[in-house]
Amino acid sequence: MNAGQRLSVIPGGEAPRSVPDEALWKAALSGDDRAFGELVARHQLLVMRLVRRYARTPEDARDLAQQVFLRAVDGWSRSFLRFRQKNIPFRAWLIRVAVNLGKNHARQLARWALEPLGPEMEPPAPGPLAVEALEAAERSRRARAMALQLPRRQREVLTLRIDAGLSFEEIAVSLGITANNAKVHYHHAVKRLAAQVAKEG
Amino acid sequence: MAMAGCEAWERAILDRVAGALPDGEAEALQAHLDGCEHCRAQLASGEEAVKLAALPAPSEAELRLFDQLPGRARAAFRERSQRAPWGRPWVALLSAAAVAGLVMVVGGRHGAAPAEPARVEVESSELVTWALSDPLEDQDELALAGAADDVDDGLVETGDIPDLDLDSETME
Repeated sequence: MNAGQRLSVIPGGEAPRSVPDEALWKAALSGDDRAFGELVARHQLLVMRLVRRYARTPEDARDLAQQVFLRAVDGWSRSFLRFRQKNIPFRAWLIRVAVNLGKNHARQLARWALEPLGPEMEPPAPGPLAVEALEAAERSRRARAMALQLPRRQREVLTLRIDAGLSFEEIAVSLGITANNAKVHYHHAVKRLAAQVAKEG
Repeated sequence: MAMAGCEAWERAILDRVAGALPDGEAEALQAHLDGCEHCRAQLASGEEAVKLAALPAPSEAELRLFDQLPGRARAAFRERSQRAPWGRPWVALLSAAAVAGLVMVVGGRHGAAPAEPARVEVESSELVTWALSDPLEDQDELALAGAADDVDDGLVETGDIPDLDLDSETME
């Protein structure tokens, strides 16, 4: 892509929403940082929602999200001959990279015996309900840890659904499985999680 | 206590927990739930598990950090592009072609005929192979994370598990 084409994608500022992700993606692959920045702005909320489960702090989540965008472009540019033929939508590719980087991040934390904290929660106000609030927060923390211990596909489908609110169709495209398969994994994840929550009380 | 035929409602209950119950089934499921304490408990159990596992909404502090992302990511992208222009595909191809041409010229000067035309292969990155891969087996990978040599393994995972049979697991 030459300079003239780049300017036609982002004529001097922000790209209009009508410019498809894939056009921005191609511009970013050629080194256009404005196109890259526009892609980040469009999808930052999605990526942040996906990675904050695997991060220890909000700053950690922000840095992990940045890695997702850089790797999404970098990984694709290195593989342009082989994988461009698959014609994967940019959003699905981004989700896939986010899921895998999140997984790897959590594994590295686990290796160092550090548990992903998830997002910081407001401490309960002191008072008679504080104990109940603390107990509820602890139950939630344990359930989130259980979710990370689910078998891989179940964990991926569950978190894509409840963290990012993706449809089973979009989850299926992102993970390379069928929508029915995604729903079945979700069912198994919920059953397993419910059984563990009941067991722990 | 479970009523006879409760197993037949399991899929619909889990669909409702997922927020994906088809409209045509909602009324029939509700009619069953109204008369079945066991299935109401199953529904409540599933909904509670999902609620507990869900993340809280981002705080104001988190949202402020999120807002920093486009600027920071763009700066990092620009820095990487300037630092490593050879990472771009067209530069890599030109570089490979230049190297191949140099080899042919040098080889020609020494009178060595190339055995076959030079081939330029662009291998996919490990990241992409990993990102596009599917698991070999459905196991708890996080439990394996303590092993010393597997943090960056799993880069080549192929295949997918088949559709699961819901009847293979029943709700407790």
